[in-house]
Amino acid sequence: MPESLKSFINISDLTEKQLYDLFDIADSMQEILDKKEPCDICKGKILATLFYEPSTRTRLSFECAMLRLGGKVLGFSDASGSSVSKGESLADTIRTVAGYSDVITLRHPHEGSARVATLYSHVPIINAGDGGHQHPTQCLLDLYTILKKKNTFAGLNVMISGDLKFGRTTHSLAIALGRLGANLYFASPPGLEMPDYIIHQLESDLHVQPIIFHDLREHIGIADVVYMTRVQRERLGEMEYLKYRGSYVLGNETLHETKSDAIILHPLPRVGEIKPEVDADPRAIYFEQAYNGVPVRMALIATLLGVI
Amino acid sequence: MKSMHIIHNGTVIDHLPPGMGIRCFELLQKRNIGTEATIVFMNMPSSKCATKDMVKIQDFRLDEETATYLSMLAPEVTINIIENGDIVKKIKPQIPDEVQSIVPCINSRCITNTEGYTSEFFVTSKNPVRLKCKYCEFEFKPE
Ligand SMILES: [Zn+2]
Repeated sequence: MPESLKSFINISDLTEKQLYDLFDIADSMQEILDKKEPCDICKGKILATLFYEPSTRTRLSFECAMLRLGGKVLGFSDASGSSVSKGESLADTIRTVAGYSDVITLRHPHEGSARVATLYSHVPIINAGDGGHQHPTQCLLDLYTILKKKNTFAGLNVMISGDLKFGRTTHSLAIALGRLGANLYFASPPGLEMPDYIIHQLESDLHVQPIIFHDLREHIGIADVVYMTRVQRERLGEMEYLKYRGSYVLGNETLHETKSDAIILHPLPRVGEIKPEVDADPRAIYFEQAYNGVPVRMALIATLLGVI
Repeated sequence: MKSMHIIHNGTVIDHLPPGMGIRCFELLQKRNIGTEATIVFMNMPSSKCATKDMVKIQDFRLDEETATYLSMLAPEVTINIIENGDIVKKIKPQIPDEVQSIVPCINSRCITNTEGYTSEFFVTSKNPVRLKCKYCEFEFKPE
């Protein structure tokens, strides 16, 4: 059990051991889910979900996880109408809600907000997305999905495709994968490449030499994992968007060149990077990936509450 | 002519890279300190590098925090405190591993820029200085 885990703000806060321990617990949570019997691991405990910006998918996954553990949930899914919209500071909201709950899940538009929340709370904080900065439970379930399918990270060829400049959650995923020994391939349209400081960190701290290119078709043949992400139209401009569209959109034609045992991941929701025709392919496991959020979040909540 | 350059009581900010003299003057004004009589020397010959800038402020004693702040922008800076024509203190600021509230986080989406939380940084590189926000983890060169 990860003993010293007080809050979960950043994927890099976890040691490798803590990470693998969480995955083991997630496996046992999956067994609980498979049995379809009531569970009382978190009986009498309350999870607060403070969502300052709507993210139904993530909130439901957290609430499902807590309810499956036998706990209860409270919170808001939209800051308007609450005291927050009257200008209450994050610090004051956290101080108050920490009195009503045993663990707090926070989604906030400002980067670094979850770290600030830990300063004002005596109960654990889980970062459910702080602006574009981190979304560590997404990263956790991405890693869990890869491990479940591939049994290891070492030597695995992982391609990350999409907007790697502004998509900051891909930065922490890349660092985590680098730490765990994967080979990295970064495919992005020109101008949306992985920032230099991430490349630098991979090369000098982790001794990982990522391959950087502009068209995912270029290296898709050797990928064991293809991690697709969004490219927002406004980031590229209309002309560029149309010009490079083919270089980061996955359809059956491109899938044809992919290894027969590769897996295709996407954090969802997608906006056209993966054509619907791909969904039927057994390599496309993004819905299973999203589902894995439940056992992973159950493992995290139970661990932070110290009930397992 | 030379006597104009000599201050008997005050602060000499030395070894600024060319162009930093005026910047340094403006930064101090912005912080509302060092508003006393000031001379900015530009493109002076230097033993360390080709040329340097220098700022002399009459009847003013630079504090350690501001000295550290200046060293973030100009790592080679040295500061001499002058009293009665003698150097009574030489400050060669040591760039720390972590700093607080010395500059705001450059990331406009950072929580520290919204509700008045204290900015805090790890110093990830000392020459040139690079800071990494402890909250949003944005890395930048302070200006
Ligand atoms: Zn910041």
